[in-house]
Amino acid sequence: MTEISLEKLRKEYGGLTAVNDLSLKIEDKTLVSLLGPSGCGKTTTLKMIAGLLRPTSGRICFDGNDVTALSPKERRIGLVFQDYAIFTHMTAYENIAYGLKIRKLSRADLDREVRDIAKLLRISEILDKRTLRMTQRELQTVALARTLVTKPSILLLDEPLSNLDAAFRVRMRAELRRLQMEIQQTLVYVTHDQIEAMAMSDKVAVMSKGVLQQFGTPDEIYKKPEKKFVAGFIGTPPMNFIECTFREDGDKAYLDQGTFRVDVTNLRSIIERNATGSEMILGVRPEDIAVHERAPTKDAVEVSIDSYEPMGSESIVYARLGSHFIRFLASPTFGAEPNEKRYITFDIDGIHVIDKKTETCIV
Amino acid sequence: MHCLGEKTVAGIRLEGVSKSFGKRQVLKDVTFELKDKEFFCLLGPPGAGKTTLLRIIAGLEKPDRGHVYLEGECIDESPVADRNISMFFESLALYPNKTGFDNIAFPLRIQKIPESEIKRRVTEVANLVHVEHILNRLPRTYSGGEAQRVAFAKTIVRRARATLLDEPLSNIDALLRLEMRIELKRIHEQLGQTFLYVTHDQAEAMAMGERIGLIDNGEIKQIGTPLELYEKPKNRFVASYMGSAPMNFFDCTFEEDGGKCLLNGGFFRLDISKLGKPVSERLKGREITLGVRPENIRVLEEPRKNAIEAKIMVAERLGAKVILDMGITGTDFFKAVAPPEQSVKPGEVKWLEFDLEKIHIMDRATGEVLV
Amino acid sequence: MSRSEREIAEKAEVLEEKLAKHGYVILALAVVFTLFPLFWLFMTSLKPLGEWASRPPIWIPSSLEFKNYWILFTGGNYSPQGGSQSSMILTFTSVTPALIDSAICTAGGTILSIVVGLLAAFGIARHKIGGNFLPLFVLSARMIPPVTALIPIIILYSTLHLIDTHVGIVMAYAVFTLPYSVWMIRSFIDEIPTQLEESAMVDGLSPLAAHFKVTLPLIRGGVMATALFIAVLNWSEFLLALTLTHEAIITVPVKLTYFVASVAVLYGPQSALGIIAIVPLIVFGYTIQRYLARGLTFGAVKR
Repeated sequence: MTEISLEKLRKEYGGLTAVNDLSLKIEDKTLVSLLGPSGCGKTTTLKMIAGLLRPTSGRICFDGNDVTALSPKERRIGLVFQDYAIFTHMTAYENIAYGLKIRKLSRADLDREVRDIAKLLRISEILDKRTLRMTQRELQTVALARTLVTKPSILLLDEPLSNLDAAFRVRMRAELRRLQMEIQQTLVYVTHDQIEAMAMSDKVAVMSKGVLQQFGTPDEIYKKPEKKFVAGFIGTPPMNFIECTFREDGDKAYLDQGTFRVDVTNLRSIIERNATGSEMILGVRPEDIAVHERAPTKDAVEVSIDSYEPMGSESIVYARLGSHFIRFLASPTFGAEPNEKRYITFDIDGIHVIDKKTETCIV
Repeated sequence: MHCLGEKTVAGIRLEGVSKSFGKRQVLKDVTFELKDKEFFCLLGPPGAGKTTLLRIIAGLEKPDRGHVYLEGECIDESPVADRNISMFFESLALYPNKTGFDNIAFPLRIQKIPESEIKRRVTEVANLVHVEHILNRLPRTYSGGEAQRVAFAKTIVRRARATLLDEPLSNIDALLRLEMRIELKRIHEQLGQTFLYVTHDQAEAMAMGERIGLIDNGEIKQIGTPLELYEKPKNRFVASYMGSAPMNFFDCTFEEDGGKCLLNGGFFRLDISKLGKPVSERLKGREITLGVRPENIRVLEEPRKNAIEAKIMVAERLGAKVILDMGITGTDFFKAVAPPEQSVKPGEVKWLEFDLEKIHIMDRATGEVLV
Repeated sequence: MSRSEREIAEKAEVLEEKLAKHGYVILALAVVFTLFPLFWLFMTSLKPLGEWASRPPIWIPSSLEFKNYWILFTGGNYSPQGGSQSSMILTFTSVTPALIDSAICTAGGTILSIVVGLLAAFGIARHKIGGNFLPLFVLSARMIPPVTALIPIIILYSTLHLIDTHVGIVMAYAVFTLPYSVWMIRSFIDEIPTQLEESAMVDGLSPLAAHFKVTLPLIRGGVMATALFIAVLNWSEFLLALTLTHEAIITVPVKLTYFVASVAVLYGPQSALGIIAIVPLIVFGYTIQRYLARGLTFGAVKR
């Protein structure tokens, strides 16, 4: 089990910078996700860690040893691709054994290793099954077994669940996580699905356009995003961004949107210190907005309901606030006609103040 | 084949439609109807027969048995071109050698509508889906989202009697999909047409459908409003399919013990006396399965009566909530939801209380929901 | 990635590099092998009498005898040099009628083949007419040597008075090239997703209109390529042209035999005719270049 450290990793293709000076430390025995939209450089980074791609500059170290010049074989990594690459004409046993073939083990040793890993992954009963007859779950577990049997120092997974349908994905991600915790394997996981990354990881590295946006635990990137991108990418439904201006009025400070303003007096010093101007973006998560039929306080903001989606456990409501469109959550039985008026209040502790120019989160 | 049956004012009506491909029976006696101008979602896992059903309605396939009615008229014998239905194909079906404008205009040109009228309608519909600026380009230059919208414009420009949509949003990334959902509903409102929307994504169906028809293996499992399907599923399939966090299922037996009614799940015994006599009457002597949604389980720090003891295996921290993977015996796992403030770490033992008002008890053999 | 997978990838890389180095040599050999006959033909067509069949062979003519070319159009005669048969004169008539006959038969045969082939291909590809049997049956026409069908055809033709007629040749050419036409066009049709036609049908087109208005424009390149292929076959076809005609119709391949006599062969003019015969095909191929562009269907369908 190994600790991975990436130092100023860079990959350029002609004029295009796929990965831009990425520095990251992945601790031993943790599951770290590389998360971001397609094209952000996560798969490229994974391939560099694996040794399939040579970085343009920068170092990769496993447990302090520089492995940048080593081939994948020499790095002892385990890699599972999206489509599993399972051999279809073999049984599960043969597939798993394939990974060990090069090591020229004796029959008995090989058998023992395969059966050990099968027991660990709870697939002992299907060892003799042909891959053509297997379910998706079994296929994925066999793919994992094949990689794990070589006892790699780190395990790299490239969007392994994206082929599965939604309900299945939810089940499989818990199983993967359970497994990782049980065998204490260092795992790097690439995905574009932020829910998946949040659910499974010890830490998440959010990337966009080749640049690392933030590296932290799911709670950290959710509650304390450092950049607008992270704030908007993490969380379903996505965060609302409302443009406003920072104004001071006597000994009070406000974020003024035009049709309403939010009292931010207690955040005044932080904002003054870090802001580059007075143009701000107010970030509020849909779950931090409460809706009422009548204004409970005088700070409540009037909005006009556009539409809503009943999702069973809650409803997603879309409303108009001035020229902005905002989303918030309501009870599953929420109902309203289009253009009806409602009143919303923000949970002040949950708001984020983002500097419009630098797109960094001040609060 | 003659159509029997009453004439109704339904938008689309299917009666006893069955279809097999070779040995595989893809649709089994499907009967349901869409109200006029309704936004109806046909929901089901891949392979359930949804696309086949759409193709039968459009006329691209002929059913082995059954009838299709459109606005009261039987259209079984109508050739594809005469049915006045428009269809959005999952693969978009954009003509690659025509510009965006010509693609959208093509359905109108087939109808021999004058060019000036065509120009007006194409521009109108292009504005509706925000593709006016890319109309003069070829489809191969479009991004995924742009191609999807042009294909959509091409579908609705005809103002046919009904519009069939086959997974229109399946290829778009998550953020754009949310936007498109709202736009689709808005457009439906404006056009006043009947929409039959096919998808496998239950969140999408719940968000958009006025009513949802759940189909599996060629059979309709339940039809109702999103909330009806979510809160009052009629069978196990519906209960397990709806909801983003999958429902938990426990096999139990019904016992009566000293005036109390219990569900014995092996590792737990749940007192359901609160539910009353009629319930216990129905459950007597059956093999049952208990279904509970993760959000209807309360995670408690201390033991309470009727609460189950379990250990946290995995804690998925999703920011606004934490999904817990709970284990008892080591092989049985189920999920519960906890608020983010609660301290929940793998290895901790908690007590879980099921909200008895929200549980579903099913017959194990038939899957039918009894309570 | 397991170790063995990586090893396989490495081995493939090495092999590729080796091939790349030697590839140029192999290419050069192939070019020489293919183009040499053409080179020889062209050189011979410009050789003066006497250099045509000399031993050792003369590679490059000592002087350029353009007479070999223009004499084809005027008709001419040659007397052999020396020998006891010095009174023998070899004559040939102008080749212009031959060129015209070839043009008619090739064009007619190609067009007929393509039109029938299109309809058949749509039937097979889109409507599965004839199941598995029909396509193979059509293909089987090409599996037998034309020679075996020759005598029945001759008998048939003479009964129908089709011997030595343009119509006769055109039909025969169409029949023998139909397998290519049907199979090649069918494979192009198969590449176009049916959903495009289905979409048009749902919007109001009949199936036939959908074939011709939606799919045909997209396979234009393929159809053109097939037409070129068939045109080349027809233009150079010898056996049927020889046996199904007498004197009314002479195609270029047949005309070439007129330069052969028992005592000598007029290689010079014959080669010149050979060179001239190539020209129309090159012109045809060049003019339809723009239709052969691929990539027309990219972006039509997701997945």
